[in-house]
Order: sequence, then C-alpha cells, then structure tokens
Amino acid sequence: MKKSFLGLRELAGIFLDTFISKNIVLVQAIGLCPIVAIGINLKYGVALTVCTAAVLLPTSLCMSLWGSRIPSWLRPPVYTVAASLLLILAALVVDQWVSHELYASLYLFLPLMAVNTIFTYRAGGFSVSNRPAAALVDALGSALGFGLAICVVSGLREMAAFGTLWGKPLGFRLLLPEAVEPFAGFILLGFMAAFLKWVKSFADRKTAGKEDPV
Amino acid sequence: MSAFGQMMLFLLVTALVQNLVLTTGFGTSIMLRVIRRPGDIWVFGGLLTGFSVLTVLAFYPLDRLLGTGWAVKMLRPAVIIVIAAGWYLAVTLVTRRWMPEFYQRTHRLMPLAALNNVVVGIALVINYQFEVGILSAVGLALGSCGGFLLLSWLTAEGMERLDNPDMPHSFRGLPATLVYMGILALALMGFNRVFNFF
Repeated sequence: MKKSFLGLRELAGIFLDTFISKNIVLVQAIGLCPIVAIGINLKYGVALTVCTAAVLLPTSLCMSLWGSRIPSWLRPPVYTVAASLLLILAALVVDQWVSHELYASLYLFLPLMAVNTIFTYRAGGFSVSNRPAAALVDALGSALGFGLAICVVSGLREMAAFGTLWGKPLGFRLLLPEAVEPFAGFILLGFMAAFLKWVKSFADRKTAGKEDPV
Repeated sequence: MSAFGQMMLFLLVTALVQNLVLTTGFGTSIMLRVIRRPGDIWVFGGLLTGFSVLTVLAFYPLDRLLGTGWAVKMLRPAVIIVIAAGWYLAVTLVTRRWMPEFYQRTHRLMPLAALNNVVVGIALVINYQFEVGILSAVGLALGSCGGFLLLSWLTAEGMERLDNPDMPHSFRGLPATLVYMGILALALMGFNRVFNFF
C-alpha cells in the first residue's frame, strides 16, 4: 500500500537520504560499475550523471504511477526495456549534439545504465511502493548521489592520470597513468565511503552530545 | 588453434586472469548484494551463467545479420537487453508452471541474474572487441561467470576476515571491502600485459 501524501519535510528527508546520508553509491553500493570502469574523466562523469537522471526520473515516475498494476515478476523486464529505449535517445543526443568522441568513449557504458542496479532498486523497488512525488524526489536524490560519487572519483582520477580537469591542464609534474585502472576506482570509492561514514558518526556524536549534555 | 582450444583459452583466461568484475567493474554491485547471503552465491552463479550463455547464443547469429550501420550501432545494446529480458520471461514462465519449488527458491535472484551488467556487458564486449567464433563467445561467457563466482567466494571470505575489532570503525563493512577489491584488481593488473580482453 502506498504511503499517504508526503509533506515537503518528508520529501526533503527522502532526497537527503539517497543523496548523502544513505548515499546510493557510498552506503548502498549501487551503481559502482560505471564509476570503476569509465569514471576516469570529469566529462564522462557529468555525461553519465545527466543521462542517468534523464532516464531514471521518467522511469521512476512511470513505475510509481503504473508499476503496482504489473505483476512483480514482470516488472524487471518492463522497466529495463523502457530504460534502454530512453537511453537510446540519450545516446543519440550525446552523439549528435554533444560530442562524437564522448559518445564513442561511452559507447559500452551508456546503454549498460539500463541494467544498472540503480534502476533495479530505485525504479523497480522504491518507486513502485511510493507516491509519484516521493518516487521523483528519490530518483533525483539517487541520480545526484551517483553523480556526486562519479564526479569526485572521475575528477581525482583525471587529475592524477592526465594532470587535467575537464580537459584543462593543471600543470602537475607528477602523473600517475595507472589511476585510470579499475583498482584506483575501487580504492578511491572505499576511502570516500569511509570518509562519509566518519562524517556521519561525527555528526551523530555531536547530536547525541547536544541531546544529553550529562 | 582449434575452435574448442580457443573456447577453453577464453574460458580459462576470463575465469582466472582477466576477471570481469575486477577489470571492468561489471557486476560489482550485484556481487556485493549477493554475497550478503553466502547460500545464494552458487545459486546466483548458476543462474547468471545460464542467462549469459543463453543471451550470447541468441545474440551471436542475430549480430551477424544486424551489420554495422549507424542506426544498428545505436540499437544493438537495446537488442541485447530485449533478448536477455526474453530469456528471463521464458525461464520464469516455465519454472512458475512446471518447477514451482525451483521457482520459489530462485524467483528473488532471477531478475538480478538475467538483467545485469555482466550478461549484457559480455554480449556487448564480444561484439565490440572480438571477431570470434560462437564457441569462443560461449567460452568467454562461461569463463566470465566462473570468474564472477570465484570473486564472490573470495570477497565473502575476505569480508569475514575484515570483520574484526582492529579495523577502524569508519572502514568497517563496505569501505574495507572496496579497498580489498581494489587490491585484488591491482594484483590482476600485472596480467593485463599478457591478456587484455576487456
């Protein structure tokens, strides 16, 4: 049964949950593949974030509106095929109106977003059992939470491997070309997840200290 | 080298040396979810292998017919996803009707096993990277899933050992697991000079 009408406060809570406190990548371990594999350049990170948001939002909205009418065993192929068709449009836009080189670099990974666990657990999971507003806000939080992780990792790896950021040279003398390898993605994500966990426990301790000054 | 020999080469290399998860990241999130219940690892691995091979077998002849036009290049990934979805529906309908106990045991894992980066990624990579025969494509699918299974077991074992009180609080759980996988990926990197499939 779907929850009753949600106020702005609850919607803000849903957004902040998937965006930061239960970040889709760093806490829930969803959507790791593109970050590890192709998150080596800030442009790729931004492109994948925009494409993910452009596909996840309508898919989540549709699953929230009509998903409960579809038998549970039939939902996965429905939202996966729907997402893949939307991603064809996104790929077309990237290839025709953004950059051929960008599309060529993302050729393998852009369509793979349709079978990314982000869609499985957010569009196919959360959205079906929640109202459209909550589903949209969750989708936005998930896409931006994914974007936060991939952009930070991509930016750091681009700086380390190429000495550039967004293609602009930064004048670094020491370069680490191995930063484009998947191991660097895994290790960076591990440290980012640890940092987020530390920040959350620090915030929790401060809150607990304020509530119980004794 | 004979076709069977090539198939075995692809199978062994992708299972042991060029692990799909550690070299491309395909299936990382799924693997981290599945290993939370160690009893599901083998069941999921079997389902994943089945769906990967079926998708490769169905897509391979179709790919030869599709050609290499611009529109086809755009549509190819969606075709693979539709094939994978078709196999998922076929297996679900058959097991719901004729193998209800098997369906009860696997219905939670089946959509994850059929519609994921590993299944679609293998078919895409075969098209993108290689000019191989059907046997080699099947060998690559079998080996990739075997490598996935091996890594799932290694990660589950590693997570048990990482779960100890000496681990700093912030690193417990997912952070330590990701760093552990990074170190495994670094170890495999040395083989990239000899074999570089992905």
